[in-house]
Amino acid sequence: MTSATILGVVVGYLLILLAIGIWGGRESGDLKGYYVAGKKLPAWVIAFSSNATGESAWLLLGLTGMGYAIGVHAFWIIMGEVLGVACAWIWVARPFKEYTDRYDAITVPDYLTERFRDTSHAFRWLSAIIILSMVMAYTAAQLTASGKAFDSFLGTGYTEGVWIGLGIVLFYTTVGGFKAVAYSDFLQGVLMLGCLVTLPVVGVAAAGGFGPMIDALRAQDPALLQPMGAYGLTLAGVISAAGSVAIGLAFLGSPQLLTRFMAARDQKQIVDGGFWAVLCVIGFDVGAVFGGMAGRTLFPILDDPETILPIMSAELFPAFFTGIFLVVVLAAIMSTVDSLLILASSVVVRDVVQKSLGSNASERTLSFMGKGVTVVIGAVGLVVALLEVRVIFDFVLFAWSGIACAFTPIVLCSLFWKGTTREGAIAGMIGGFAVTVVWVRAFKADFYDLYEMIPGFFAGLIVCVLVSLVTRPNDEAVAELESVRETVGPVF
Amino acid sequence: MPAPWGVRTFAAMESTGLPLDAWVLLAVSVGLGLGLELAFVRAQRARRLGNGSSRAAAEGRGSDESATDASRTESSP
Repeated sequence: MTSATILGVVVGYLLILLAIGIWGGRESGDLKGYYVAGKKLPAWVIAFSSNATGESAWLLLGLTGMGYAIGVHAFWIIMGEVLGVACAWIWVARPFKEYTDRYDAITVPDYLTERFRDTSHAFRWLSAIIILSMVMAYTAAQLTASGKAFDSFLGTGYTEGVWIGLGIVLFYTTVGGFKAVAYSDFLQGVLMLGCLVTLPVVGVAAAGGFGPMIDALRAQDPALLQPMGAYGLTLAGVISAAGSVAIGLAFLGSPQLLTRFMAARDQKQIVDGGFWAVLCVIGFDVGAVFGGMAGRTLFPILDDPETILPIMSAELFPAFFTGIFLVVVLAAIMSTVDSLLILASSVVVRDVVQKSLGSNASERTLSFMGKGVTVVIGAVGLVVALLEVRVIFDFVLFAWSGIACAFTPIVLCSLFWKGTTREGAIAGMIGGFAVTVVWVRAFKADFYDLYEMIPGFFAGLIVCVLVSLVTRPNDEAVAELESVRETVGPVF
Repeated sequence: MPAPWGVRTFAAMESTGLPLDAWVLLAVSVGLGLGLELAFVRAQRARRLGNGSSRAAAEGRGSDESATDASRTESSP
Protein backbone atom coordinates (compact mmCIF):
# COMPACT_ATOMS: atom_id res chain seq x y z
CA MET A 1 0.00 0.00 0.00
CA THR A 2 2.80 2.38 0.97
CA SER A 3 4.77 1.63 -2.19
CA ALA A 4 1.63 1.98 -4.27
CA THR A 5 0.98 5.43 -2.77
CA ILE A 6 4.55 6.58 -3.44
CA LEU A 7 4.42 5.14 -6.96
CA GLY A 8 1.12 6.92 -7.58
CA VAL A 9 2.58 10.28 -6.54
CA VAL A 10 5.65 9.81 -8.74
CA VAL A 11 3.65 8.69 -11.77
CA GLY A 12 1.25 11.62 -11.30
CA TYR A 13 4.16 14.04 -11.20
CA LEU A 14 5.78 12.57 -14.30
CA LEU A 15 2.47 12.80 -16.19
CA ILE A 16 2.20 16.48 -15.29
CA LEU A 17 5.70 17.04 -16.73
CA LEU A 18 4.69 15.30 -19.95
CA ALA A 19 1.57 17.48 -20.17
CA ILE A 20 3.68 20.63 -19.67
CA GLY A 21 5.92 19.45 -22.51
CA ILE A 22 2.99 19.07 -24.89
CA TRP A 23 1.54 22.41 -23.80
CA GLY A 24 4.87 24.21 -24.32
CA GLY A 25 5.31 22.68 -27.77
CA ARG A 26 3.12 25.29 -29.42
CA GLU A 27 5.88 27.89 -29.12
CA SER A 28 8.93 25.82 -29.98
CA GLY A 29 8.65 26.12 -33.76
CA ASP A 30 11.49 28.64 -34.16
CA LEU A 31 14.79 29.27 -32.38
CA LYS A 32 13.55 32.18 -30.26
CA GLY A 33 10.57 30.15 -29.17
CA TYR A 34 12.58 27.00 -28.52
CA TYR A 35 15.48 28.60 -26.63
CA VAL A 36 13.94 31.60 -24.78
CA ALA A 37 10.18 30.92 -24.95
CA GLY A 38 9.70 33.89 -27.27
CA LYS A 39 10.88 36.22 -24.44
CA LYS A 40 7.38 36.23 -22.92
CA LEU A 41 7.84 34.71 -19.46
CA PRO A 42 6.21 36.37 -16.41
CA ALA A 43 8.00 37.33 -13.18
CA TRP A 44 6.92 34.38 -11.04
CA VAL A 45 8.05 31.82 -13.62
CA ILE A 46 11.53 33.27 -14.14
CA ALA A 47 11.96 33.71 -10.37
CA PHE A 48 11.22 30.11 -9.39
CA SER A 49 12.75 28.70 -12.57
CA SER A 50 16.10 30.41 -12.02
CA ASN A 51 16.27 29.21 -8.42
CA ALA A 52 15.26 25.64 -9.28
CA THR A 53 17.93 25.58 -11.99
CA GLY A 54 20.55 27.13 -9.73
CA GLU A 55 19.99 24.50 -7.07
CA SER A 56 20.43 20.90 -8.11
CA ALA A 57 19.95 17.85 -5.90
CA TRP A 58 22.77 19.42 -3.86
CA LEU A 59 20.21 21.67 -2.16
CA LEU A 60 18.05 18.81 -0.94
CA LEU A 61 20.70 16.24 -0.15
CA GLY A 62 23.90 18.30 0.18
CA LEU A 63 22.71 21.36 2.09
CA THR A 64 20.48 19.41 4.48
CA GLY A 65 23.52 17.18 5.00
CA MET A 66 25.62 20.24 5.80
CA GLY A 67 23.05 21.46 8.31
CA TYR A 68 23.32 17.99 9.84
CA ALA A 69 27.13 17.84 9.78
CA ILE A 70 28.24 21.41 10.57
CA GLY A 71 25.11 23.09 12.01
CA VAL A 72 25.24 26.88 12.28
CA HIS A 73 28.43 27.12 10.18
CA ALA A 74 26.19 26.39 7.17
CA PHE A 75 24.55 29.82 7.71
CA TRP A 76 27.47 31.22 5.65
CA ILE A 77 26.06 29.36 2.64
CA ILE A 78 22.70 31.03 3.22
CA MET A 79 24.46 34.40 3.21
CA GLY A 80 26.28 33.63 -0.04
CA GLU A 81 23.22 32.36 -1.88
CA VAL A 82 20.79 35.04 -0.70
CA LEU A 83 23.25 37.84 -1.51
CA GLY A 84 24.12 36.21 -4.85
CA VAL A 85 20.49 35.95 -5.92
CA ALA A 86 19.64 39.48 -4.69
CA CYS A 87 22.64 41.08 -6.40
CA ALA A 88 21.93 39.22 -9.65
CA TRP A 89 18.36 40.49 -9.81
CA ILE A 90 19.17 44.02 -8.60
CA TRP A 91 22.33 44.82 -10.59
CA VAL A 92 22.82 42.25 -13.37
CA ALA A 93 19.35 41.39 -14.67
CA ARG A 94 18.11 44.77 -15.95
CA PRO A 95 21.15 45.90 -17.97
CA PHE A 96 21.59 42.34 -19.28
CA LYS A 97 17.94 42.24 -20.36
CA GLU A 98 18.26 45.67 -22.01
CA TYR A 99 21.37 44.63 -23.95
CA THR A 100 19.96 41.29 -25.07
CA ASP A 101 16.70 42.90 -26.20
CA ARG A 102 18.62 45.44 -28.26
CA TYR A 103 20.65 42.67 -29.90
CA ASP A 104 17.70 40.27 -30.12
CA ALA A 105 20.13 37.82 -28.50
CA ILE A 106 18.92 34.39 -27.43
CA THR A 107 22.15 32.98 -26.00
CA VAL A 108 24.90 34.39 -23.77
CA PRO A 109 27.53 33.97 -26.53
CA ASP A 110 25.12 35.93 -28.77
CA TYR A 111 25.28 38.75 -26.23
CA LEU A 112 29.07 38.63 -25.81
CA THR A 113 29.64 38.59 -29.57
CA GLU A 114 27.48 41.67 -30.13
CA ARG A 115 28.66 43.49 -27.00
CA PHE A 116 32.32 43.23 -28.06
CA ARG A 117 31.69 43.48 -31.83
CA ASP A 118 33.45 40.17 -32.30
CA THR A 119 33.50 39.17 -35.94
CA SER A 120 35.81 36.19 -35.40
CA HIS A 121 33.15 34.16 -33.50
CA ALA A 122 35.75 33.51 -30.78
CA PHE A 123 33.15 33.87 -28.01
CA ARG A 124 30.83 31.42 -29.74
CA TRP A 125 33.45 28.70 -30.22
CA LEU A 126 34.98 29.17 -26.79
CA SER A 127 31.56 29.10 -25.11
CA ALA A 128 30.59 26.00 -27.07
CA ILE A 129 33.72 24.12 -25.95
CA ILE A 130 33.35 25.10 -22.27
CA ILE A 131 29.59 24.61 -22.05
CA LEU A 132 29.48 21.31 -23.98
CA SER A 133 32.29 19.67 -22.00
CA MET A 134 30.89 20.75 -18.65
CA VAL A 135 27.24 20.10 -19.47
CA MET A 136 27.86 16.55 -20.65
CA ALA A 137 29.72 15.69 -17.45
CA TYR A 138 27.14 17.37 -15.26
CA THR A 139 24.23 15.79 -17.10
CA ALA A 140 25.82 12.37 -16.69
CA ALA A 141 26.21 12.96 -12.96
CA GLN A 142 22.59 14.08 -12.60
CA LEU A 143 21.39 11.05 -14.56
CA THR A 144 23.41 8.86 -12.23
CA ALA A 145 21.61 10.51 -9.31
CA SER A 146 18.30 9.92 -11.11
CA GLY A 147 19.10 6.21 -11.52
CA LYS A 148 19.98 5.88 -7.85
CA ALA A 149 16.88 7.81 -6.70
CA PHE A 150 14.45 5.70 -8.75
CA ASP A 151 16.19 2.51 -7.69
CA SER A 152 16.31 3.30 -3.96
CA PHE A 153 12.73 4.62 -3.67
CA LEU A 154 10.91 2.41 -6.19
CA GLY A 155 13.30 -0.49 -6.78
CA THR A 156 13.39 0.05 -10.54
CA GLY A 157 17.06 -0.89 -10.88
CA TYR A 158 19.81 1.65 -11.61
CA THR A 159 19.83 1.31 -15.41
CA GLU A 160 16.05 1.58 -15.68
CA GLY A 161 16.11 4.61 -13.34
CA VAL A 162 18.59 6.41 -15.60
CA TRP A 163 16.46 5.62 -18.67
CA ILE A 164 13.22 6.80 -17.03
CA GLY A 165 14.79 10.05 -15.79
CA LEU A 166 16.35 10.89 -19.16
CA GLY A 167 13.26 9.81 -21.11
CA ILE A 168 10.96 12.18 -19.22
CA VAL A 169 13.37 15.14 -19.38
CA LEU A 170 14.10 14.62 -23.07
CA PHE A 171 10.40 14.42 -23.89
CA TYR A 172 9.36 17.69 -22.33
CA THR A 173 12.57 19.49 -23.29
CA THR A 174 12.47 18.56 -26.97
CA VAL A 175 8.71 18.84 -27.42
CA GLY A 176 8.10 21.86 -25.23
CA GLY A 177 11.39 23.75 -25.51
CA PHE A 178 12.38 26.46 -23.06
CA LYS A 179 8.78 27.29 -22.24
CA ALA A 180 8.20 23.76 -20.95
CA VAL A 181 11.57 23.84 -19.17
CA ALA A 182 10.76 27.13 -17.43
CA TYR A 183 7.23 26.15 -16.39
CA SER A 184 8.30 22.69 -15.23
CA ASP A 185 11.11 24.39 -13.30
CA PHE A 186 8.48 26.64 -11.74
CA LEU A 187 6.47 23.62 -10.62
CA GLN A 188 9.63 21.93 -9.38
CA GLY A 189 10.72 25.08 -7.53
CA VAL A 190 7.36 25.37 -5.78
CA LEU A 191 7.53 21.71 -4.73
CA MET A 192 11.08 22.12 -3.46
CA LEU A 193 10.10 25.23 -1.49
CA GLY A 194 7.05 23.54 0.01
CA CYS A 195 9.05 20.55 1.20
CA LEU A 196 11.94 22.59 2.54
CA VAL A 197 9.58 24.82 4.53
CA THR A 198 7.71 21.82 5.90
CA LEU A 199 10.75 19.70 6.73
CA PRO A 200 12.20 21.85 9.56
CA VAL A 201 8.75 22.60 11.02
CA VAL A 202 7.95 18.89 11.36
CA GLY A 203 11.52 18.08 12.36
CA VAL A 204 11.68 20.71 15.12
CA ALA A 205 8.26 19.64 16.42
CA ALA A 206 9.43 16.01 16.50
CA ALA A 207 12.53 17.11 18.40
CA GLY A 208 10.31 18.64 21.10
CA GLY A 209 10.54 22.26 20.01
CA PHE A 210 13.24 24.74 19.06
CA GLY A 211 14.82 25.07 22.54
CA PRO A 212 15.12 21.31 23.16
CA MET A 213 16.55 20.87 19.62
CA ILE A 214 19.27 23.43 20.35
CA ASP A 215 19.99 21.81 23.74
CA ALA A 216 20.31 18.39 22.06
CA LEU A 217 22.69 19.78 19.45
CA ARG A 218 24.80 21.44 22.17
CA ALA A 219 24.95 18.16 24.05
CA GLN A 220 26.14 16.34 20.92
CA ASP A 221 28.75 18.91 19.88
CA PRO A 222 28.91 22.57 20.99
CA ALA A 223 30.69 23.45 17.72
CA LEU A 224 27.39 22.79 15.89
CA LEU A 225 26.11 26.08 17.34
CA GLN A 226 29.20 28.17 16.55
CA PRO A 227 29.27 30.38 13.41
CA MET A 228 32.89 29.40 12.76
CA GLY A 229 32.10 25.76 13.48
CA ALA A 230 34.71 23.29 14.65
CA TYR A 231 37.48 25.40 13.08
CA GLY A 232 36.92 28.36 15.44
CA LEU A 233 38.33 31.74 14.43
CA THR A 234 41.29 30.30 12.49
CA LEU A 235 42.56 30.64 8.93
CA ALA A 236 40.83 27.36 8.06
CA GLY A 237 37.57 28.67 9.54
CA VAL A 238 37.75 31.95 7.62
CA ILE A 239 38.57 30.11 4.36
CA SER A 240 35.68 27.73 4.92
CA ALA A 241 33.26 30.62 5.57
CA ALA A 242 34.57 32.60 2.57
CA GLY A 243 34.19 29.54 0.33
CA SER A 244 30.60 29.13 1.50
CA VAL A 245 29.78 32.78 0.75
CA ALA A 246 31.48 32.48 -2.66
CA ILE A 247 28.88 29.91 -3.75
CA GLY A 248 26.64 32.89 -4.47
CA LEU A 249 29.00 34.28 -7.14
CA ALA A 250 27.66 31.71 -9.62
CA PHE A 251 24.26 33.42 -9.59
CA LEU A 252 25.78 36.59 -11.07
CA GLY A 253 26.79 35.25 -14.46
CA SER A 254 26.14 31.57 -15.15
CA PRO A 255 24.60 31.27 -18.63
CA GLN A 256 21.85 28.86 -17.56
CA LEU A 257 20.62 31.53 -15.09
CA LEU A 258 21.16 34.55 -17.38
CA THR A 259 18.91 32.84 -19.95
CA ARG A 260 15.99 33.40 -17.54
CA PHE A 261 16.56 37.16 -17.59
CA MET A 262 16.68 37.10 -21.39
CA ALA A 263 13.39 35.20 -21.49
CA ALA A 264 11.52 37.70 -19.27
CA ARG A 265 8.61 39.50 -20.91
CA ASP A 266 9.94 42.96 -20.01
CA GLN A 267 11.90 44.92 -17.40
CA LYS A 268 8.94 45.09 -15.01
CA GLN A 269 8.99 41.29 -14.70
CA ILE A 270 12.57 41.52 -13.48
CA VAL A 271 11.76 44.09 -10.80
CA ASP A 272 8.85 41.97 -9.57
CA GLY A 273 10.59 38.61 -10.02
CA GLY A 274 13.61 39.54 -7.92
CA PHE A 275 11.51 39.79 -4.78
CA TRP A 276 10.06 36.30 -5.32
CA ALA A 277 13.47 34.89 -6.17
CA VAL A 278 15.01 36.20 -2.94
CA LEU A 279 12.11 34.96 -0.81
CA CYS A 280 12.35 31.57 -2.55
CA VAL A 281 16.08 31.14 -1.96
CA ILE A 282 15.67 32.15 1.69
CA GLY A 283 12.99 29.46 2.08
CA PHE A 284 15.18 26.91 0.28
CA ASP A 285 18.33 27.51 2.28
CA VAL A 286 16.99 28.26 5.75
CA GLY A 287 14.65 25.28 5.45
CA ALA A 288 17.43 22.95 4.31
CA VAL A 289 19.88 23.98 7.05
CA PHE A 290 17.36 23.92 9.91
CA GLY A 291 15.90 20.68 8.53
CA GLY A 292 19.35 19.12 8.69
CA MET A 293 19.91 20.47 12.22
CA ALA A 294 16.58 19.04 13.38
CA GLY A 295 17.49 15.74 11.72
CA ARG A 296 20.73 15.64 13.69
CA THR A 297 18.81 15.66 16.97
CA LEU A 298 16.43 12.94 15.78
CA PHE A 299 18.90 10.65 13.98
CA PRO A 300 22.24 11.49 15.53
CA ILE A 301 24.40 8.69 14.12
CA LEU A 302 24.34 8.54 10.33
CA ASP A 303 27.24 7.30 8.23
CA ASP A 304 26.25 9.63 5.40
CA PRO A 305 24.75 12.99 6.47
CA GLU A 306 23.38 13.46 2.94
CA THR A 307 20.81 10.74 3.57
CA ILE A 308 19.10 12.81 6.27
CA LEU A 309 16.31 14.15 4.03
CA PRO A 310 15.21 10.73 2.69
CA ILE A 311 15.37 9.32 6.23
CA MET A 312 13.33 12.16 7.73
CA SER A 313 10.76 11.95 4.93
CA ALA A 314 10.35 8.21 5.47
CA GLU A 315 10.28 8.33 9.28
CA LEU A 316 8.33 11.53 10.02
CA PHE A 317 5.80 11.75 7.19
CA PRO A 318 2.96 9.56 5.89
CA ALA A 319 3.53 7.63 2.64
CA PHE A 320 1.90 10.26 0.43
CA PHE A 321 4.38 12.90 1.63
CA THR A 322 7.28 10.47 1.34
CA GLY A 323 6.26 10.20 -2.31
CA ILE A 324 6.23 14.00 -2.54
CA PHE A 325 9.75 14.14 -1.10
CA LEU A 326 10.94 11.62 -3.71
CA VAL A 327 9.31 13.76 -6.37
CA VAL A 328 11.13 16.79 -4.99
CA VAL A 329 14.52 15.06 -5.23
CA LEU A 330 13.69 14.09 -8.82
CA ALA A 331 12.47 17.64 -9.45
CA ALA A 332 15.78 19.09 -8.31
CA ILE A 333 17.67 16.73 -10.62
CA MET A 334 15.38 17.26 -13.61
CA SER A 335 15.18 21.05 -13.27
CA THR A 336 18.97 21.21 -13.58
CA VAL A 337 19.30 18.63 -16.38
CA ASP A 338 16.62 20.20 -18.60
CA SER A 339 18.20 23.65 -18.37
CA LEU A 340 21.69 22.35 -19.10
CA LEU A 341 20.49 20.30 -22.08
CA ILE A 342 18.74 23.25 -23.66
CA LEU A 343 21.71 25.52 -22.91
CA ALA A 344 24.12 23.12 -24.64
CA SER A 345 21.73 22.68 -27.56
CA SER A 346 21.47 26.47 -27.97
CA VAL A 347 25.23 27.00 -28.25
CA VAL A 348 25.55 24.23 -30.83
CA VAL A 349 22.65 25.29 -33.06
CA ARG A 350 22.51 29.06 -32.60
CA ASP A 351 26.16 29.89 -31.98
CA VAL A 352 28.00 27.26 -33.98
CA VAL A 353 25.68 26.13 -36.79
CA GLN A 354 23.67 29.29 -37.48
CA LYS A 355 26.08 32.09 -36.61
CA SER A 356 29.62 30.70 -36.86
CA LEU A 357 29.15 28.29 -39.78
CA GLY A 358 26.60 30.61 -41.41
CA SER A 359 23.86 28.05 -42.03
CA ASN A 360 21.00 29.39 -44.14
CA ALA A 361 18.53 26.81 -42.89
CA SER A 362 15.08 28.08 -41.95
CA GLU A 363 14.17 28.83 -38.34
CA ARG A 364 11.91 25.80 -38.34
CA THR A 365 14.69 23.52 -39.58
CA LEU A 366 17.12 24.96 -37.01
CA SER A 367 14.56 24.49 -34.25
CA PHE A 368 14.18 20.86 -35.32
CA MET A 369 17.96 20.54 -35.37
CA GLY A 370 18.06 21.99 -31.82
CA LYS A 371 15.73 19.24 -30.66
CA GLY A 372 17.96 16.65 -32.30
CA VAL A 373 21.05 18.09 -30.62
CA THR A 374 19.26 18.00 -27.26
CA VAL A 375 18.62 14.28 -27.77
CA VAL A 376 22.23 13.63 -28.83
CA ILE A 377 23.67 15.44 -25.79
CA GLY A 378 21.26 13.56 -23.53
CA ALA A 379 22.29 10.28 -25.19
CA VAL A 380 25.97 11.00 -24.55
CA GLY A 381 25.12 11.73 -20.91
CA LEU A 382 23.18 8.47 -20.81
CA VAL A 383 26.12 6.42 -22.12
CA VAL A 384 28.50 8.07 -19.65
CA ALA A 385 26.06 7.49 -16.79
CA LEU A 386 25.51 3.83 -17.70
CA LEU A 387 29.18 3.06 -18.26
CA GLU A 388 30.15 5.21 -15.25
CA VAL A 389 33.19 6.59 -17.10
CA ARG A 390 35.46 7.74 -14.29
CA VAL A 391 37.45 10.28 -16.33
CA ILE A 392 34.26 12.09 -17.29
CA PHE A 393 33.00 12.07 -13.73
CA ASP A 394 36.16 13.89 -12.64
CA PHE A 395 34.83 16.85 -14.63
CA VAL A 396 31.80 17.02 -12.38
CA LEU A 397 34.03 18.23 -9.58
CA PHE A 398 34.34 21.58 -11.29
CA ALA A 399 31.51 21.55 -13.85
CA TRP A 400 29.34 24.04 -11.97
CA SER A 401 32.13 26.37 -10.88
CA GLY A 402 33.94 25.98 -14.24
CA ILE A 403 31.00 27.42 -16.19
CA ALA A 404 30.45 30.13 -13.57
CA CYS A 405 34.13 31.22 -13.50
CA ALA A 406 34.37 31.29 -17.29
CA PHE A 407 31.37 33.58 -17.70
CA THR A 408 30.65 35.53 -14.49
CA PRO A 409 33.74 37.80 -14.42
CA ILE A 410 33.44 38.84 -18.06
CA VAL A 411 29.67 39.29 -17.93
CA LEU A 412 30.08 41.61 -14.92
CA CYS A 413 32.88 43.55 -16.63
CA SER A 414 30.87 43.82 -19.84
CA LEU A 415 27.87 45.24 -18.01
CA PHE A 416 29.61 47.68 -15.69
CA TRP A 417 33.05 48.67 -17.03
CA LYS A 418 33.28 50.48 -20.32
CA GLY A 419 37.01 49.80 -20.51
CA THR A 420 36.37 46.09 -21.08
CA THR A 421 37.72 44.97 -24.43
CA ARG A 422 37.12 41.95 -26.63
CA GLU A 423 40.64 40.69 -26.00
CA GLY A 424 40.26 41.19 -22.24
CA ALA A 425 36.97 39.30 -22.16
CA ILE A 426 38.36 36.35 -24.16
CA ALA A 427 41.45 36.18 -21.93
CA GLY A 428 39.29 36.46 -18.79
CA MET A 429 37.05 33.65 -19.98
CA ILE A 430 39.99 31.33 -20.62
CA GLY A 431 41.77 32.42 -17.43
CA GLY A 432 38.77 31.94 -15.16
CA PHE A 433 38.01 28.50 -16.54
CA ALA A 434 41.64 27.32 -16.59
CA VAL A 435 42.38 28.45 -13.03
CA THR A 436 39.24 26.67 -11.78
CA VAL A 437 40.33 23.39 -13.37
CA VAL A 438 43.97 23.69 -12.27
CA TRP A 439 42.97 24.71 -8.75
CA VAL A 440 40.78 21.64 -8.26
CA ARG A 441 43.36 19.27 -9.72
CA ALA A 442 46.54 20.66 -8.17
CA PHE A 443 46.08 23.08 -5.31
CA LYS A 444 42.73 22.71 -3.55
CA ALA A 445 43.76 20.00 -1.12
CA ASP A 446 46.79 22.00 0.03
CA PHE A 447 44.84 25.21 0.70
CA TYR A 448 42.28 24.12 3.29
CA ASP A 449 39.96 22.96 0.47
CA LEU A 450 39.35 26.55 -0.59
CA TYR A 451 36.35 26.46 -2.92
CA GLU A 452 37.53 26.90 -6.53
CA MET A 453 34.99 29.64 -7.17
CA ILE A 454 37.21 32.14 -5.35
CA PRO A 455 40.50 31.65 -7.28
CA GLY A 456 38.63 31.00 -10.53
CA PHE A 457 36.42 34.08 -10.30
CA PHE A 458 39.18 36.46 -9.27
CA ALA A 459 41.62 35.05 -11.84
CA GLY A 460 39.04 35.65 -14.58
CA LEU A 461 38.35 39.15 -13.28
CA ILE A 462 42.02 40.14 -12.94
CA VAL A 463 43.02 38.74 -16.34
CA CYS A 464 40.06 40.47 -18.00
CA VAL A 465 40.94 43.83 -16.39
CA LEU A 466 44.70 43.60 -17.07
CA VAL A 467 44.33 42.63 -20.73
CA SER A 468 41.61 45.26 -21.20
CA LEU A 469 43.94 47.93 -19.80
CA VAL A 470 46.53 47.27 -22.49
CA THR A 471 44.03 47.05 -25.34
CA ARG A 472 41.53 49.56 -26.68
CA PRO A 473 37.77 49.23 -26.22
CA ASN A 474 35.44 49.71 -29.16
CA ASP A 475 34.15 53.33 -29.19
CA GLU A 476 30.70 52.28 -30.33
CA ALA A 477 30.47 49.72 -27.50
CA VAL A 478 31.50 52.38 -24.95
CA ALA A 479 28.78 54.75 -26.14
CA GLU A 480 26.28 51.91 -26.10
CA LEU A 481 27.08 51.07 -22.47
CA GLU A 482 26.33 54.70 -21.53
CA SER A 483 23.07 54.48 -23.42
CA VAL A 484 22.08 51.24 -21.69
CA ARG A 485 22.84 52.77 -18.29
CA GLU A 486 20.68 55.77 -19.12
CA THR A 487 17.79 53.60 -20.28
CA VAL A 488 17.93 51.26 -17.31
CA GLY A 489 18.27 54.13 -14.83
CA PRO A 490 19.54 54.06 -11.25
CA VAL A 491 19.13 51.04 -9.01
CA PHE A 492 17.99 52.88 -5.90
CA MET B 1 7.87 49.94 32.60
CA PRO B 2 8.50 47.32 29.86
CA ALA B 3 12.04 46.89 28.50
CA PRO B 4 12.81 48.45 25.11
CA TRP B 5 11.98 46.42 21.99
CA GLY B 6 15.62 45.64 21.20
CA VAL B 7 16.34 44.34 24.70
CA ARG B 8 13.23 42.15 24.61
CA THR B 9 14.21 40.79 21.20
CA PHE B 10 17.73 39.91 22.34
CA ALA B 11 16.31 38.29 25.47
CA ALA B 12 13.88 36.22 23.40
CA MET B 13 16.67 35.16 21.03
CA GLU B 14 18.92 34.10 23.88
CA SER B 15 16.10 32.17 25.55
CA THR B 16 16.00 29.83 22.54
CA GLY B 17 19.45 28.56 23.44
CA LEU B 18 21.00 29.42 20.07
CA PRO B 19 23.98 31.71 20.75
CA LEU B 20 23.56 35.40 19.94
CA ASP B 21 26.38 35.38 17.36
CA ALA B 22 24.58 32.61 15.47
CA TRP B 23 21.36 34.66 15.48
CA VAL B 24 23.29 37.69 14.23
CA LEU B 25 24.86 35.65 11.41
CA LEU B 26 21.45 34.30 10.40
CA ALA B 27 19.86 37.76 10.56
CA VAL B 28 22.63 39.28 8.44
CA SER B 29 22.53 36.35 5.98
CA VAL B 30 18.82 36.72 5.38
CA GLY B 31 18.38 40.44 6.11
CA LEU B 32 21.12 41.85 3.90
CA GLY B 33 19.83 40.29 0.68
CA LEU B 34 16.17 40.79 1.54
CA GLY B 35 16.76 44.39 2.64
CA LEU B 36 18.59 45.24 -0.58
CA GLU B 37 15.83 43.64 -2.64
CA LEU B 38 13.06 45.50 -0.79
CA ALA B 39 14.88 48.82 -1.16
CA PHE B 40 15.31 48.09 -4.88
CA VAL B 41 11.64 47.25 -5.41
CA ARG B 42 10.51 50.35 -3.50
CA ALA B 43 12.86 52.60 -5.48
CA GLN B 44 11.74 51.15 -8.81
CA ARG B 45 8.05 51.43 -7.93
CA ALA B 46 8.56 55.04 -6.83
CA ARG B 47 10.27 55.77 -10.16
CA ARG B 48 7.45 54.11 -12.06
CA LEU B 49 4.82 56.12 -10.14
CA GLY B 50 6.86 59.29 -10.65
CA ASN B 51 7.07 58.64 -14.36
CA GLY B 52 3.33 58.03 -14.50
CA SER B 53 2.47 61.30 -12.78
CA SER B 54 4.93 63.28 -14.89
CA ARG B 55 3.32 61.87 -18.02
CA ALA B 56 -0.12 62.82 -16.74
CA ALA B 57 1.14 66.34 -16.06
CA ALA B 58 2.65 66.54 -19.52
CA GLU B 59 -0.61 65.44 -21.11
CA GLY B 60 -2.47 68.02 -19.04
CA ARG B 61 -0.28 70.79 -20.39
CA GLY B 62 -0.84 69.51 -23.91
CA SER B 63 2.73 70.34 -24.85
CA ASP B 64 4.15 68.16 -27.61
CA GLU B 65 7.65 68.56 -26.26
CA SER B 66 6.69 67.56 -22.72
CA ALA B 67 4.74 64.56 -23.95
CA THR B 68 7.74 63.37 -25.94
CA ASP B 69 9.98 63.70 -22.89
CA ALA B 70 7.51 61.86 -20.68
CA SER B 71 7.04 58.96 -23.07
CA ARG B 72 10.82 58.63 -23.31
CA THR B 73 11.03 58.41 -19.52
CA GLU B 74 8.13 55.95 -19.47
CA SER B 75 10.00 53.53 -21.68
CA SER B 76 12.57 53.06 -18.91
CA PRO B 77 11.55 50.97 -15.91
